[in-house]
Parts: sequence; structure tokens; C-alpha cells
Amino acid sequence: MKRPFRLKSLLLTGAFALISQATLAADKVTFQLDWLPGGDKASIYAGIDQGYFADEGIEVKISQGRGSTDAISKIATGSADVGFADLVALLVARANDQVPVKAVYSVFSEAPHAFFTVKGNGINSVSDVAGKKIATSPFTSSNIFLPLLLDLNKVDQDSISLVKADPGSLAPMLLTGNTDVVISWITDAEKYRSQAAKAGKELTVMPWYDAGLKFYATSVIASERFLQQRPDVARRFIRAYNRAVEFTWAHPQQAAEAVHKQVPEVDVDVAVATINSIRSLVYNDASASAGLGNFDHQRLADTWKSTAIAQKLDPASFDPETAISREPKLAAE
Amino acid sequence: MKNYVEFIDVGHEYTLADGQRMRALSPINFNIQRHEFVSVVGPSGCGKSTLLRLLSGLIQPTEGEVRIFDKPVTEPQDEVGIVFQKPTLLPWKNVLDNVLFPLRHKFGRVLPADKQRASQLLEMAGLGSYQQHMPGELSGGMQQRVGIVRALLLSPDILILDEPFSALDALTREEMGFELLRICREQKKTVLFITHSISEAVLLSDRVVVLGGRPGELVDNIEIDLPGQRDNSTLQHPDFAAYTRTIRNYICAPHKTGEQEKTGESAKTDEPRKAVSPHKGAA
Amino acid sequence: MSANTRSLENTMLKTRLKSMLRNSLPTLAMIALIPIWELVCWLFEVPEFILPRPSAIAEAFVAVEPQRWLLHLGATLYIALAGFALSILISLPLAVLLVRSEFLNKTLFPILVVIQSTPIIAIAPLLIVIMGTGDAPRLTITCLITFFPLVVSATTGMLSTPEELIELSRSLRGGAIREIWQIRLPYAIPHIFSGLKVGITLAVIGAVIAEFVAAEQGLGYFVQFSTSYFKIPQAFAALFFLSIVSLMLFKAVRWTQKIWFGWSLQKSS
Ligand SMILES: Nc1ncnc2c1ncn2[C@@H]1O[C@H](COP(=O)(O)OP(=O)(O)O)[C@@H](O)[C@H]1O
Ligand SMILES: [Mg+2]
Repeated sequence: MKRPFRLKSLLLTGAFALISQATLAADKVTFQLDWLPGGDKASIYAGIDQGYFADEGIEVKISQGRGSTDAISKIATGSADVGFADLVALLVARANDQVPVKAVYSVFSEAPHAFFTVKGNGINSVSDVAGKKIATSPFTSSNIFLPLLLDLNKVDQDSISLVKADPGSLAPMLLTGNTDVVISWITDAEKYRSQAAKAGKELTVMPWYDAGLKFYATSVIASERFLQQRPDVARRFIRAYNRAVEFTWAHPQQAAEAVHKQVPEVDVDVAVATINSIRSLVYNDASASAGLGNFDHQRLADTWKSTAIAQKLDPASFDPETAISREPKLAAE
Repeated sequence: MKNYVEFIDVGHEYTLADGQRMRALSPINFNIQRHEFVSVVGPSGCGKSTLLRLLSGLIQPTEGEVRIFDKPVTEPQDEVGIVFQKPTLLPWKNVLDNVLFPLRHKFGRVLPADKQRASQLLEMAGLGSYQQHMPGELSGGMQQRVGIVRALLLSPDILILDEPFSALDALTREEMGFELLRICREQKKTVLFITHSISEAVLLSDRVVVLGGRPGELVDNIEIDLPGQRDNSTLQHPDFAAYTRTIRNYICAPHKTGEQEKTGESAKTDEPRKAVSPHKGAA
Repeated sequence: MSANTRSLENTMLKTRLKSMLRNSLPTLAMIALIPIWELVCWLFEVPEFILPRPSAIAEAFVAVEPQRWLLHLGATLYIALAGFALSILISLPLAVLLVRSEFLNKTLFPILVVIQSTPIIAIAPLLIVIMGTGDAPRLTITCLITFFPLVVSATTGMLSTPEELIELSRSLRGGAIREIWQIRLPYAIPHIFSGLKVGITLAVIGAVIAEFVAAEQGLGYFVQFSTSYFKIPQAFAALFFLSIVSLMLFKAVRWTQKIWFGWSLQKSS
């Protein structure tokens, strides 16, 4: 009598195993950051912490990076499947080298480039930088768009003096008065702000998107191989990531804690402040009209056009649509 | 009378790095007989060390032939032990292991019997209580003694020493000379002793081969006929002074007097010059 | 008699104290520097982001949990030591080849010089792309930075072997392998150890450079992380930790030499 009973229980366990197979044998995805962890990358950490990826049967491993090009090449060579990168960097990489990587989700639909200055410098808008000293780091993509920005705001390029310095020295230069203006990203505004506070100064941030530069920036990118070979995983990943983004800006505190839990070096307070300060990069008119994460055809075309002009490329030589894969997102809807 | 070593018209030219050839030794002839102690004296650069390399088979003469036991030397011989100017002991091995080094290097291993023999040799050289010392802890003279013992380990019939005492002070030097003589007599060695000290050569040798010039050539081949056992008293013997003077004349003023030209001729024969009454030479 | 021994003991004690003082002089000098530094920062109100005060650095050091320090330390040590070991395994045979073969010396050495004069930090990102994100590129970077002084010191050491010993070896017909193994390599030990002492500090630098380019752990990563968040005192704390680690490793090499190759120290003294 005992035997059939046992068999039954065995069958039952088997059935359970089948149901929970998704979590047991989760699909492994390596996610490549474009820089060190922080509040601006909170979404991916929050997604893991909240179990959104696990819900989709995906196990995410995060790999830290050192810049967009670094992230793009790591994904292109297969060290990672998905990751963050600046869309502009991806467009340039695809236009020049046809790297097998595509953007699948727009995270920052406004560009994070900005002028930072301290209150009392007499600089209140982008057009005020005429005749000033501006410091920037040598390799940031912001530099490419500076001439375009100056043109749009009718600032004579020759009137400014541009100095290049290591990113780590920009804040001290600004606070010691060695430069009037610094070019940085809004994602770093919080770090500058706390430094300025320590020196008894107040930071002014002038985003370039307010001065006419309207285009996509940080996006989720994926290797073509990943998209072709594991389309279903890609679809589920994007679905989970979309939830993670919504959660992050709905609950900055919890999202920041998620980062800290996984990377203890990241302070919760700084991360919360960062998440709050970059909300406008995620939630704005562009994302409202196209839908969170979606690339609008026209805005994408504009992004490429600005990039091509700034990079002295022929805008007609490349179709930016080829750098985008709308499939995973469409499927998610 | 048996010749253990024969130099037959042996000359040598080195090939320099740039391909040029440099003559170090003009063809010379001389022999070393069984159990004979022969010194080679000559100024620096006249090819003394070249002689050592030729006899030990480290290099092949470009002219003539070097023979040991009636066989041409074509490669390094087991019958030859070498003592260098500097002791060149291995600083990471103690005295005993330094002495055993040739065995370890040649065969890759050392037997207990070898150790015993090395100990005996060290004992004989007065180093019995220093076996476990490191070379750095010994005086220059003691280090050179270890170098000599090392050369004796493989029981070579022929011992070549290249200015072995030149780094030592005068007193140690004399003492070491007599010690070497004693060891060589005891162990029945045939010796080629290279030196630039004339008195040392005369004091220790049965025969002195005088080299001179650049390239080196044989200037004279003098049998040293001093009575009795060689010791400090030998230095007082009038013939000793006469021999040294004769040799010094060759080296300090070569090819000047008629007599030296004659000796130059006699040098071409391999018959050693029988004591040209050193008394007369001195007069 | 007893007075005599007592005075002897006294002088012995004195010399020992003197040598202790002499040995700890560098440390004392460094310690003496700290209050001066603190004072200067305080007097001239030097901003923290330019030069943090020692007290701020100490605070930052304590603020990080010991486990975190250990984690980062472990990661850096692993890369530095494994890379260093690998570098030794590559350099010594390479040096032997360079010593043995005129041809290799002529062909290989210029290549080594080219590698050495390539700024490794510039090609580091390439290495990551080529070799992936595992330990391989980090070990490679560390190796590339440390191998040259090792090859050069080992080669120089082996070539400085007295000619007489080589002649002795040849007269014994001991063979090339024993010539290298029993004579040239041991003779090169003092040189090799000076190479190792330079190498071990370079290995730490190599590990840090590698961490700058790609890492999620390690003291170099932590320095970079701290500066990117403008946490300058924390970066300084990590740097100090790093230099202390470097110093310890250097001493460890010296101890190794003293314990196992004590004879090789006699030359220098
Ligand atoms: N390996 C060598 N290659 C080229 N020339 C050499 C070499 N060894 C010695 N010589 C040259 O040969 C000459 C004789 O040298 P050597 O036999 O060492 O003289 P000595 O030992 O009498 O001082 C010198 O002029 C020296 O420069
Ligand atoms: Mg010589």
C-alpha cells in the first residue's frame, strides 16, 4: 500500500518542479554597467532586489564598467549580454564599426550633459558662459556636443577658454575658482553639491536639454547574438527592467538601499539624492509621449543628426533605426 | 724520463667579437715531465692564461698540438685540475660542499665516500675544522686553499694553477707556496704553475718557463737546480738570487743584449737549458 | 669582575638601543610628519578635496568596516601575488634563454624592451576586451608590469657569474643544464632578489592599474570608487593602506632572502 503513495508524492514533487522550473533553472543574464555603481544605476539593482527578474525566471549578474565604449565593446565581444551605454556612443560605434549591439530600451530620454557653476559667478544660463573659462574631462561625450550647444545659444566659440582635466579634479577646480564652469553630467550633480556645501558654496546646474539639445542618452543595449538566440529571455528581461525603472523613481529610498545592499561602498543618502535629481532624465515630455523606454522615431533621428554634425559625419550615411531593436519592448506590451 | 705534457709548436689566435683575429701566443715548444713542478712566468698579457686554457682543453690551439700522456688534447680532460687566480668559491655552499662541487657538477650526485675523501683533503690542507664554514667567513688564503683542495678532489695527475696566490699578502703567499709544494709532492702531482712573481717561480719550481712579449713567445726554459728541500732557507741560497736575477733581466729588458737573443734561439728547441751556471750570470 | 660584565652589558644594551632607533627612524619620521600635516591643514584651512587632514583620513579608515577592507585587500593581494608568481615563472626561464642564446638575446630582447616601454595602462582596456572580464587580464597586466625588471636582473646576475666558474664547469663537462642550475642561477640570486624587490612593489601597482580598468573589488578599485564620489579622505585611507601593504610585501621579500638565501646578503653589507 505504501508504494503507490510514494509514487504519488514523487509525481507531485515532479509537477512542482516543473512549475517552479523557471526559478530553479533561471536564465542567466550578465548586465554590463557603463560606469561604477551609484544612484543613477539604481534601477538594475532595485530590479534584482525586488525580485522582478526572478519573477521572469532570470538571474542577473552585474558587471561594473568604465565608460560607454567599454560597455559596448564588452557586450560586442560577448563578456556580457545586456547593459547600459550612451545611445550617442552606440550610434557612433555602429556608424563607424557596425558593432553587433543594439539599443533596446531608453533609460534617459534627455541627455544628462550640463554646465555646473557656483552661485555668485554671474552665470545663470547657457548663454552666460561667453568669455568664461570652462573645464571638462578629456574623454566625455559632452565635448562633442559643446560646439553645437554654443551655436544654438549664439555663444562665440572663440570667446570661451576650454581646459581639459581629469574628472576627479573638476570639482576642486570649480570650488577653488580655477575655472568658472565645469561640464559634467546631471547624474554627478549630487556629488558636486555635497562637495560645494563643504566649501560653503552653492551649486548651479544648467542642463543642456533646457538649452536646445534634445536627444536620447543612457539606454539599455544588448548584443545582437543575445537578441537572436534568446529572444524570449530578452523580452522577459525588458519587462522586468521596465518594472524596476518604475519602482526606482517611485521608491528612491528603497532603490538606493538595494544598491547599498549589493555594493556596500555606495551611500544610501547620496544614492537617494541622485535618483531624485535625475528624475527629469527619465520622466519627461519625450518619455511621456513615446512611452517609458521607447524610442521615438523623430527624436532618434534628431539624436543621430546632432551626433553626425558634431562628429563631422554625413547624417545620411547611417540610419539610426538600425541601431535600435524595438522587438523586445513591443512584445512586452 | 717521461713527458706527461707536451706543447708542440703551439700558438694561438683569438677570434674577437668583430671577427678580427688577435694573436695571443706565438708558436712555442716545451714539455713537462712526470711529477715535475714547472712554473710559467711572464708579464701580464703574454698569454699565460691562454696556456692554461690550451692545456685544460677549454680551447683548441690554432697552431700545433698540446699532448697529455702522448694523446692530443681535444676536450677538457679528467686528468687535469684547475686552480684559478681568484678562489671563485660558490658563496652559497659551505667549504665541504664547495670542495665536493666538481663531483656534484660532473655526476650530479655525491657519495658518502666522496665526502670522506673531501674531509681528508681538507684536513691535509689544514682546514679540517672549517668544513661547515661559509666561504665569506674565511680569509683570502684559506679560500684559495679550498680552491686547491677542490682541484685535487677528482685526483687529477696534472694540476694547473693560474696565479693562485696573486691576491694574497706576501707572508701568506710564501707560506701557501710551501704548502702547495708539500701537497703536490705528497699527492705526486705534475704541476703547471702560472705566476708573475719571479721569486715564487724560482722558489717552488723544478723548471721555469719564461714567456715574454705580446704576443707571448718563449724566452727561456731554465732548470732550477737548488739543493735540498725548498723552504725559507732556500731564499738565502746564492743561486736563488742568481736565478731570479737572470729571469728578471729577461722580463725587464727583453731583446736588448746579445745574450738574450741567443737564449731566444735556444728557446725554440724543446730541450730545457741546463743551468747556465747562475753564478756566472750573477757575476 | 661583575662591575666589568655589567658595564659590558650596558654598552651592549646601548648599541642595541641605538640600532633599534636607527631601524625605526623612517617610521618615526613618518609619525612625526602627521601632526605637522594636521597643523598645516588646520592653519591654512586646506579644503578636504585638496588635501584631507590625517584625522579625517583616520576617520574615513575606521568608518569602513574591517570586512570590507579585508575583502578589498584580499582581492588586490590575490592579483598582485598571483601575477607576481606568474611573472617569476615566465621571467626566469626567459632570462635563461637570453643568457644561453646569442640569437634569442638579439631577437627577443628588443621585443621585451618594446613591451616594457609600452604604457601598460594604455593597452589595459584592450586586454580586457581581448581576454574578458575574469582574472586573466588583471594577471596579464600585473605580469606585463613586473616581468621586465625580473628578466633584466636575472640576466645581469647570470652574466655576472665569474668566467672562471664557467671555465671550471666546462672543464668538468657538467653540461648546460647544470651550468645554469648549479652555477649561473644561484650566482644571480642577489641580483634576482633586487629584481624581486622592485617587482613586488610593481606588482601592487600593476594590480591597482588593472583594478582601475576593470574590477569590482580591490584597493585600487576602492580608491577609484572613492574619488569618483569625491570621498577624498577615504581615497587617501585606501592609498595609505595600499602603501603599507606594498611595504609589507617588500619586507616579506627581504625576509625570504634573509631566511633562505642569507649568504646573498653578505655581498651588499
Ligand atoms: N677570450 C679572449 N678573447 C680575445 N682575446 C683574449 C682572450 N683572452 C685573452 N686574450 C688576449 O690574449 C692575450 C693574452 O692573454 P692572457 O693569456 O690572459 O695573458 P696573461 O694571463 O699572461 O695575462 C692578451 O692580450 C689578452 O688581451
Ligand atoms: Mg692571466
